Amino acid sequence: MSALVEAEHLAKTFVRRQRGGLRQGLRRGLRPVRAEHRAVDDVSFEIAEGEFVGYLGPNGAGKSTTIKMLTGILVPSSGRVQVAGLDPSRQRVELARRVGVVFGQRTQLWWDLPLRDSYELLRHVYRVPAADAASQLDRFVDLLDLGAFLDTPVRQLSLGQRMRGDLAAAFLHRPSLVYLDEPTIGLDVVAKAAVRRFLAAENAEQGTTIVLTSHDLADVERLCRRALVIDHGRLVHDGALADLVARLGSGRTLVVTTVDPVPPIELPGTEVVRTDGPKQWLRFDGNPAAVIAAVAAAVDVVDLTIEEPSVEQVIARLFAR
Amino acid sequence: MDDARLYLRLVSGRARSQLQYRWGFVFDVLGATLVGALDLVAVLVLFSNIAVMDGWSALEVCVLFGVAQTAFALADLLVGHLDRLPVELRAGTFDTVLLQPRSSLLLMIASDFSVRRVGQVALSLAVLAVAWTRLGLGVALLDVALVTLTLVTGTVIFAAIWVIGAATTFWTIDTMELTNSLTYGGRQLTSYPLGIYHAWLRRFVVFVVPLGCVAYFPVRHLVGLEPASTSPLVRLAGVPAAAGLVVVAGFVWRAAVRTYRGTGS
Repeated sequence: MSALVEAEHLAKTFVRRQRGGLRQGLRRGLRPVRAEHRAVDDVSFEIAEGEFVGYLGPNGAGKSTTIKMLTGILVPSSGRVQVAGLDPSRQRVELARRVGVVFGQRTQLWWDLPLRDSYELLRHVYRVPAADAASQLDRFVDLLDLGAFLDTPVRQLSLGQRMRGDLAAAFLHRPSLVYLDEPTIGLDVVAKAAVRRFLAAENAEQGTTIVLTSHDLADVERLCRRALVIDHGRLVHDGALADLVARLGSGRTLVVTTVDPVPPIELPGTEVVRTDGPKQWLRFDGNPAAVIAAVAAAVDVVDLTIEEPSVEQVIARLFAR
Repeated sequence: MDDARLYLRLVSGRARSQLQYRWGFVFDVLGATLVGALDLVAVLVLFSNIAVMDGWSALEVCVLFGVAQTAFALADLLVGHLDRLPVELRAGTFDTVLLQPRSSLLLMIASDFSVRRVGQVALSLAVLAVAWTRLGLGVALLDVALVTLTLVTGTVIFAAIWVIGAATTFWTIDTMELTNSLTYGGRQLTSYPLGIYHAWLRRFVVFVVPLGCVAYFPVRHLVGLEPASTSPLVRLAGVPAAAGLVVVAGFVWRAAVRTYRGTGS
């Protein structure tokens, strides 16, 4: 296995010119105030071919800035980066042919044209042979269930349909590396499951290396074997996701509704964090099935729900230690 | 050329999507044509008060007007949408362009195509044809070739100024209005004989921002107003102006994208 992505001491500093008020401006001799902001600060990692990596961190932690340096959109302030043997900032166009990107909030599809036409245009942008694009599209129609809306203008698609359309667009030219920024944001449960199934299949069967950014811990847990965690521009965790969760505990909450209000449920490995009439909130780490069985045996249960912690909450706990 | 084929494909995609909104399209064409027609009215009103302008008759000015306005409308059709670049920069959608394996300028130019401008092109060509016929200028091969060449170089000059102006918004974000004053203002300026302007403005639009090379010199020859002492090469002033501007535009665009990506400044 060779490293597809190599980042060494990668850093990006933005200089913001702040315009103060007139008085402040006069005092400083009309020179704008320059504030430096280190968006990415000395980050090093390697990603091997075929990996599925979660790139996690709170908003503004430096995730998109890193991705932009890896794709060559932004030039690093210092450090070295190599992707597929290329220098992204110098060989951006060459690299772009081998990389796919989905930004959850933006689309590269043509808004007013039927979805099918976008693929035809992208095929030419990426110089994909017609037969190759057709066989890819056949696969995507199958895996992502695009058939029903392939001839619908993109502006008329639901968010879930559009995201599936965007995913197919990003994988059309058989990229060896795909970056996904929040691919499940705003999607319902069914659409989320379809997206996850597709990504797992592309990774396992086509060997596509995937870097996923998500706020949804379930996305990351189900797809990524490894997680990179970044905060304030610094890499704070690099390792198996299971290790991260084991270290911190999954921190799920079981919401129990009983027939009648009962005293706080005491079970080993759980902690009641809140009660409200017949409802109790139990924090627990470990196997949900065992906890649910124990609760059901202890009290008369009307309803049970599990609340997943967000990636932010897990990371917040990482820093609380 | 592969790039040219891609351009045609992308642009026909845009054209198809604009034609989907049939009534909106019809009104857009009518509106854009009306604006062009008002400019023509301005010329006619002017000539209801004067007989000649710097030695040019109304019909002769109409030939100049037709050539300049056609070149402008064609440039507007091809690259006019670049004035939306500041919005794309702010929204971050320009990143999508940088993620694709093609020239960012090519993709930006191909990202839209204002079909509604065809009305203005047609109107300007009609003005040119009518004035040309009324003056009895005939269809000598060389003259037709010169008109065609002038339309091409004029379009390129306007388009290159647009690209340069759009590129500067990478640094400044809010200077598209300055560019518009050069392009939309240039459309007015080039529609009248250069002789009516002050010497410094004349020099500025010939040697600095070569809008003066769009139509004036060749049309002056075509309508028979060129002084006998003038070198025939002056009629071709648009060629070096257009070529020079294309080089400058390419350079400025690349520098601008480099700044955006954080190599510069």
